[in-house]
Amino acid sequence: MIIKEITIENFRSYYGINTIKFNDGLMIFIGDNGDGKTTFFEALEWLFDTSRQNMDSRLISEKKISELIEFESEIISVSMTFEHDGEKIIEKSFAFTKSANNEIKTSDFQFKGFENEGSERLPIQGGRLLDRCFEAAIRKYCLFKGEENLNVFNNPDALNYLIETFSNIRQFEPYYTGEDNNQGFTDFAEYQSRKAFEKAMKSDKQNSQQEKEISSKLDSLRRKQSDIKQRLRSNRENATNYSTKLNKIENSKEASELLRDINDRLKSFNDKKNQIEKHINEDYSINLLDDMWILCGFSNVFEEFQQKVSTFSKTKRKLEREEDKLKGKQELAKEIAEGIIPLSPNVPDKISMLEMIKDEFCKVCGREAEEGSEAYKFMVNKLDDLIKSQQPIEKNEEKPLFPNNFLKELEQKSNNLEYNQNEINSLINTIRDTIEFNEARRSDANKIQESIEIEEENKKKILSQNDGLTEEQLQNAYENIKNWWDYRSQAEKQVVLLEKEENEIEKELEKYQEQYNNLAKGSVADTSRKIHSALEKIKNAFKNAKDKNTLDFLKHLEDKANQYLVRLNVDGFYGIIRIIKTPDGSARIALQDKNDTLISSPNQALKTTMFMSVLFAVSDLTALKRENDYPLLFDAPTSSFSPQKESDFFNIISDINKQCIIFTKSFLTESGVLDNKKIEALNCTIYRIEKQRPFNNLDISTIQTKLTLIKD
Amino acid sequence: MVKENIYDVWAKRNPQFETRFEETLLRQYTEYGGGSVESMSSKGKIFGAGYELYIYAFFVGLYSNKQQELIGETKGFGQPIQFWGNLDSKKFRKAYPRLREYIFTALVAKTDDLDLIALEKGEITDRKAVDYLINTMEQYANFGFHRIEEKIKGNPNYFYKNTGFLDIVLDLVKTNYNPESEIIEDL
Repeated sequence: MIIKEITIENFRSYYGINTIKFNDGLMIFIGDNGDGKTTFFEALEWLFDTSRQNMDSRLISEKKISELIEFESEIISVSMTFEHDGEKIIEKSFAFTKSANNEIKTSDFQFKGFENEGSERLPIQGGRLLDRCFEAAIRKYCLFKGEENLNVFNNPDALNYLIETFSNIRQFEPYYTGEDNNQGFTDFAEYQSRKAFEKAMKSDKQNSQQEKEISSKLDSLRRKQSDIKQRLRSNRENATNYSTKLNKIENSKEASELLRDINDRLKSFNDKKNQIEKHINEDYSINLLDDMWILCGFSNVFEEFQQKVSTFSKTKRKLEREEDKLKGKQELAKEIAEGIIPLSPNVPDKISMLEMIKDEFCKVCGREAEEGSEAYKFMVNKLDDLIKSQQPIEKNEEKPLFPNNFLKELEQKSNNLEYNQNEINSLINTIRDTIEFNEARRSDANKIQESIEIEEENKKKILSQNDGLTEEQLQNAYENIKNWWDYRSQAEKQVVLLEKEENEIEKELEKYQEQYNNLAKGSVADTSRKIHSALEKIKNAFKNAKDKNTLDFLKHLEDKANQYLVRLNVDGFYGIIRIIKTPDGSARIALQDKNDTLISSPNQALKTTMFMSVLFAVSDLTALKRENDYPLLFDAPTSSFSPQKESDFFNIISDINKQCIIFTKSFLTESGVLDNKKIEALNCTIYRIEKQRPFNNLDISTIQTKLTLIKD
Repeated sequence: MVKENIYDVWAKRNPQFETRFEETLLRQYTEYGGGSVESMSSKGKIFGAGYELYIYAFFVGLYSNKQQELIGETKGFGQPIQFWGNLDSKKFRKAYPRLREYIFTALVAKTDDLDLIALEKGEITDRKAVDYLINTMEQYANFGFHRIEEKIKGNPNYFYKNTGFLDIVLDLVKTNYNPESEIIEDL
């Protein structure tokens, strides 16, 4: 759909008939505060609302009303000509009349549409035509007011809608739904085969007692599981519904200065609280190991160890000395007993010894030494000693007293660890300091939480305020909002608890299922078990494929968004967009750097380009699938941009092949006149929106918006 | 042949625990029996590998100075002691290999059955010596496990608060060493 022309008649500050022609590509409307930018935007919102007949008299131009004489009627209307398989027109209008007491009565609401067929122009109900060419779900991705509302995924159904519409997961529906109703084929087959398996198990007499026990456990767990699933679903729905309700009210009030201030303060409080909480690390159980806090009471044990090693060492040395002494004494005793110190075995030498033995004569002392005599024996022994002493030295065969030296190892351990002893001794202080630090942060965070609660209370009050409400009505409205608020947080808390419970039950189920399956192995039910197991695997394969499809789609969206992000952030840091699917089916847009570090609070300009990139990506995907693009309209999306960034931004958008309509007060100098140099540099159609002069500052009925084409 | 260090012989062992703690404690608080450290928090698990709770239980026994004999069926962990605390590859965690050495020194200190002189003399084998050490270790840990179990009986959610595991240790350390007075002095 491409917008060709818009006509606004008597809509708030758009007095009389105002027609604007549109081109494809970028169009900018420049206007100051109160000049009518937002009104233009709201005129389109009114036109696009196919849900109700809104004839609020506050939509009517005050100037027109002031000019009306009694009983005179006029028309308020907004119409749009657009291209979508040929030219089409929609026009919404109602009449208004001034009654006797100057009251305004509205009537005759009309929503007309026309489409060309051949040369003929056929009337059709406007809402139907609009829904056909520009379906309501897509319109959510089209109109964006301010920078805060650019995050489309704030709407919890947004992601599901995109996935359902633009990914291929619908193709899985006949095969796998994952719902209890067994509508998908694999759901059905798995269910039936499980029933058959259980039946076979029950008919098996051998395991009957155990089978009964496990299957009753399984049954009760499954019932619990389905109950939790049910509760989860309803709580998620509640959380979403109340969020939506509150958001709706908030969006309708966003012009309120007070609300904006409160939101600013809330944001800053929340940021501060997050910042503080980031410093809190209370994983004390992990500290026990990773930081060895568990050694905080170890000093005495270590002393005991050192004591033991030292005693061991002393005992060992003492024993060694005693042993040495004993050996020494034995040697000495032998020497004393012999009374003489023997000669070295080498004296006399071997040849002389052999000769003396052969001659049976000792040539050392000059005596006979017949074979068999004491002297002869002495000589033979002496030769033996000599020969032995000449043999290569063999290891001392004598067993040492201490063949092992574990003492050395223990002493080394003791010394090494001694080194860290002061660290170990001061652990108890480290622990105390860490706990104190965390507690102090926690108390800071709690204080901020108190401020947050006060601001939230104020916010609830503002949201409940409405023009012309009595005190009582106001009180009721406030009670309502307060209740929604409470219901939402209750539901959110429940969701967290239930998710945990669901997880635990799943694990328990798995465990018992395994036991049940094991029971079947080798029994008559084994065939049924195998069939069920095969079908279950097939079902899981479909489930995984469906999940993968979703992930692929998200990846695709991410890739496209990141391409835009690069283009929209020339020369600046921009990071990587991640679209994260949450378990409740909604999505979160996050920014990361290339090391997967989450950038928790990107500056507003970066955030804006991030959300816009996602919007462009969504619009691209739509165009691909539908062979039809749709326009993107932004009201003041660049408030947080620096002037240079803003110029870059507009230039890049004008290069993107997409109808993009932006209302902005940029390109106005501080004194409110057009900055012609900057406008010169832009390559797109530009309109100036301003108040018709002269006007009375105090009289709204003198206000009229004037539109001037300043660049084509 | 070069003799192996007694520490290394010890570190190759897989100490045992009473099998029943697998269900009641290990699967509750650790990833024992499947899963990864990354998914820990999502499942409400406090520790990573099963041995982490074992180490904790050991210290509880050690600081209580109480051992308890293992009864009934027992089993060990997939990893011998030498790999305990080598978490390098896991996200969000630090490795703590040194803790193994402290455990070893505690065992040497507390195992009176082990006659170091006899070991040095070779009268008992290093294998036998390590048997004594492991026995001490198992009995301390076993006492610790029983103690944890008792706590849960009193309050099933006791260990799910941040300070659950820490408090028990601090209480034991305080009663043993009374650091309270130290803290006051420090302040």
